[in-house]
Amino acid sequence: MHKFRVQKRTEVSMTRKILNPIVFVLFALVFCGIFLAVLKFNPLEVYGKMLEEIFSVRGVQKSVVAGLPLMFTGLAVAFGYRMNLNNIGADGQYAMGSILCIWFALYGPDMPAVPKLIIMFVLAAAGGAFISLLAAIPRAFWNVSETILTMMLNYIVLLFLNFLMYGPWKEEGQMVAQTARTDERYWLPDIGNTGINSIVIIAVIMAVAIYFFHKKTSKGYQMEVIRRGPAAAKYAGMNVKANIIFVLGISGAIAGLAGFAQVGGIIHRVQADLPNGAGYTGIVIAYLAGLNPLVVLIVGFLFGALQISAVAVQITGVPSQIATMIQGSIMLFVIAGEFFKRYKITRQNSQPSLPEKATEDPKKEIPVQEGGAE
Amino acid sequence: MSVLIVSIISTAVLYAVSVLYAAIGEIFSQKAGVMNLGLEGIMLMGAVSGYLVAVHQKNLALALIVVILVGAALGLVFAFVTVTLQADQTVAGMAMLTFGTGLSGFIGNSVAGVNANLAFQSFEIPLLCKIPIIGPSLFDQNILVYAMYIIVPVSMIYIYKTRPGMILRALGENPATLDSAGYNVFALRYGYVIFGSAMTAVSGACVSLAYTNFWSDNMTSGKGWIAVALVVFASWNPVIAVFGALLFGAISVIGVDIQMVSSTLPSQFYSALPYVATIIALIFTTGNFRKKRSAAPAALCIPYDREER
Amino acid sequence: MKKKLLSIILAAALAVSCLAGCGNAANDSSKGSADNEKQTGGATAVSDLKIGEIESYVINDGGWCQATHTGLVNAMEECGIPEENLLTLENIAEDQASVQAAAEQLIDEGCDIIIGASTGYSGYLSDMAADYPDVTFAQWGTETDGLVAYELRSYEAMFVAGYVCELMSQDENTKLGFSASMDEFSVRTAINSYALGAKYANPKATVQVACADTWYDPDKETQCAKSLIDAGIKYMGMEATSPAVAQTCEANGAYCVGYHVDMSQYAPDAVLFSFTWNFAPIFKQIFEDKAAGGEMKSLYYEGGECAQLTEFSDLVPEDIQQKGNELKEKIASGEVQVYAGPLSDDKGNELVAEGQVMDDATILLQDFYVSNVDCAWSK
Repeated sequence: MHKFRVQKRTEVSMTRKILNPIVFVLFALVFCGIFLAVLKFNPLEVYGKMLEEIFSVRGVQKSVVAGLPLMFTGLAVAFGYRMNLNNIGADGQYAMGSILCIWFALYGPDMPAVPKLIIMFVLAAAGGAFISLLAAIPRAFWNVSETILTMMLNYIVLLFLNFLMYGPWKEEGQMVAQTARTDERYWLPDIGNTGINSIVIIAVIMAVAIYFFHKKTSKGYQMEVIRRGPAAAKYAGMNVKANIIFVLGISGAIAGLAGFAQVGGIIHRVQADLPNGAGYTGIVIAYLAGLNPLVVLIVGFLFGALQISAVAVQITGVPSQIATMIQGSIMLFVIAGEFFKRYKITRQNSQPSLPEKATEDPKKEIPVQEGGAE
Repeated sequence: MSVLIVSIISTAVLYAVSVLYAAIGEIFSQKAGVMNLGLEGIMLMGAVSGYLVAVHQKNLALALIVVILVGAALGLVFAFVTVTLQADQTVAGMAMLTFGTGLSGFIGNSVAGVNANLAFQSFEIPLLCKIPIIGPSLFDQNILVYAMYIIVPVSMIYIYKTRPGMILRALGENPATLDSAGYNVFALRYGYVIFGSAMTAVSGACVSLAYTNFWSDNMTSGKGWIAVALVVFASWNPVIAVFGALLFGAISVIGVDIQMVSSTLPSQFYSALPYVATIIALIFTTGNFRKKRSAAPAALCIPYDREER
Repeated sequence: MKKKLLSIILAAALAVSCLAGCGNAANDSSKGSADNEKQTGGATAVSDLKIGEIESYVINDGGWCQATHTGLVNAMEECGIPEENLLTLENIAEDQASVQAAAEQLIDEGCDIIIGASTGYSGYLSDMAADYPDVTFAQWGTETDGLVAYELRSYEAMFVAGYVCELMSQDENTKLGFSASMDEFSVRTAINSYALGAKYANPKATVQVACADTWYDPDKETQCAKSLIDAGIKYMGMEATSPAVAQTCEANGAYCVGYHVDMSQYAPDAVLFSFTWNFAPIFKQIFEDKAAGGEMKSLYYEGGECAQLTEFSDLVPEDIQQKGNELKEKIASGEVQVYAGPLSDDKGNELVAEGQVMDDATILLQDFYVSNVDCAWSK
């Protein structure tokens, strides 16, 4: 009878890093496929239809639209996670960003498009940052849990949004709980004929900027050190408090820009419950992307695609909850799969490899030799 | 006036209990070092399974047993992922949340809109219910509420006065010491996570079988998150959790009362009050103003890995 | 190594989508011919109509979506449209991508009429309407470019509800209650007509509103009901989706009027009767107008059999039931107008002069609370 040993891998190759999550995503799809089969659907047909929708031209357009807010919230949450700070409040930050942005767009002075859009951009970021700073300060100074603070702030900001949308900012003479559309001058243009809004370019630039920030700047390096151990960081003279405020502030600002994306690029107005859970999905996206900002864009797009294709597949009778189930299963399987990335199962009588201090937590995984590429 | 106070307290108690099952379960889980953010998903699964049994089997006791088993099963999965596979607990929690929400909606489709007509009824406890104010508000409730009156003190005694409780606290503070002393850290953590998850599922049953009696997609409306917040707010202490839950419930009800009387401020302001109160209370109860030790279990969210010693 | 991996994955994905595409090729050809038929003739048989519905929640939610869906099913039955001609999409979020995806799917399947059951869809559907001139987009509530709006004169029924509740509470106190979800036009309509009905029975009647600020939250709704009961109110109306209000009433010896669907099954000892949406006649009109070709009305605004109360339960005494039925007939015949003057709002401004009746547009928007309503949302 062979016994199995669990052994830490001494190094995790790039192939394994990419392949691992993909394999487990497939497992998740198989798992959901079982549920589908029980309900008398053909899983291959269902997934096939979903893929068909995603890869169509209009499918890509819609996936981008659906995925854009998720890209921003994903970037925001990932930025916070890089220093082990849980920003659960991206919803509220997104909402506040959209509130300030639409306020200026509708009630601000009449200006040419470019300066107006720039101010809208800044206000959206400021709105998001304001909310996250309300959580950052108690966290930095008094070590109060930012997880709970950001979450509570969500409820408060969303109620404020509710008040505005049903009350003073509701479009005159209309019944729907939303603001009027902004003036067409202040609409960001689409990219050529693709039907995809240029706000995507802003998202990409932002992701690239964050990527280089982490890799190249000294501030990025500081964040890394603090993440690995606040005590050591303080010893090295780094101001942990200032860094917490900085990180959560930027995280909130990025989430607030999701509001700019909507007001400037997509729907050109604000409606009640605009975030619709984007902040929470952002957490999932940040993790699945391994906190890499460039990968966040891809995963954000894929989640948008999942949302769209789930709508498409409903036509065949599949229950509407399938999208959430797939999302949840993918997450569960991928994080379970992380284990197999870090450990291998071997037979008892095989040669144990030399023990070496390998990395342990996916969040902390920045192998120095690869220059932190993830 | 006293009728009003009785009513506020009794509504607050009813609300509080539905959150407390999850909160106390999570306290145990976090004291053992494992944080489960997916309470909402487990609650929904508990609510839907209990309701399904109530509709099909017409038996409340059976429903409760099924609810506990479902919660335990989910807890087992979560424990496997976080304790054995050592996955990141925040994200595992989010996964459990998403998965539980989706799955509960999926299986609840068949009973949405169907009336089970079967709920935990409230009954008076003789003698005790005659005490002025306290009596009618605390002792005219359903069995799940009464059970909580026992669970809270038992939890306190267990955690702070017994030997297993000491081990529990050590699990969350310094599991390495326990391991060297020969205790099976993994099995213990599994146990507490499963317990916490089962309790959370009962919270869900409170919503579909006691507080209100029906099932609908996503019906817990954020209660799981309130439970998570409550645990931190209570500094991982069951008695403080009770006060926190009561405070939250009471402020919600009082908010509606005030809103009906005075309309200077928008109604959303009063709806926001419980959350504002939680933030303020959180800062003052857990804030580290004088650099004292945080009440959080030191090993919370850190998977125990033998090789890391 | 990475490139190889990437290409394998892409190839696999392409392969799967090709396979799926092949499977759908057969469907595509039949869709093509169906489109040709529509373009040639103006009129089609009613029973050939294909209808798509977009719901924000699930169709067995015990509330709004269920009411819309049932209305469609009943209307289709009356028109002889087969069941499989109704395509339902649930849980469609009110954002651009989801609504677009839903509408496009329905149009792909050949739908002639698309029903947007929630006002939040109107902006997005309106944007799409121009691209699909052959498809009729019917939207609940609002008159928007490119859309056909449909609305129910729910006030006719809620007026009777308020009247009956006030008659029942005559002996005790003159305050009625109302547990309201959000400050939205249909909710305001319900509140105002309830209050006007109460006033019709007793000029001194007032209605106290408890604002939940949520479309769906059983906890909040329970708290609202409890607060109303604590304030001494025994009879209340509601605009709520969960049975929480009704069940709270039952547990505390109060009574209520159900909303959206017949709520008596959840609280038989508390629900006097319920207001239900009967969309079937309106949808039938829309179907018939569509089938006939030609112009469709921009607004279908009906009352009568569309805005119905369920049967009065035994909780309502015989004589009051009779009075209620008499009032129903008077409203149906036009003898009693709900929004007839003199009418003022709760700030004292005059809304309707003596001898006049409010026009439909103002009734639809309902941007006011009538004088005997006490509501925190009133600005």
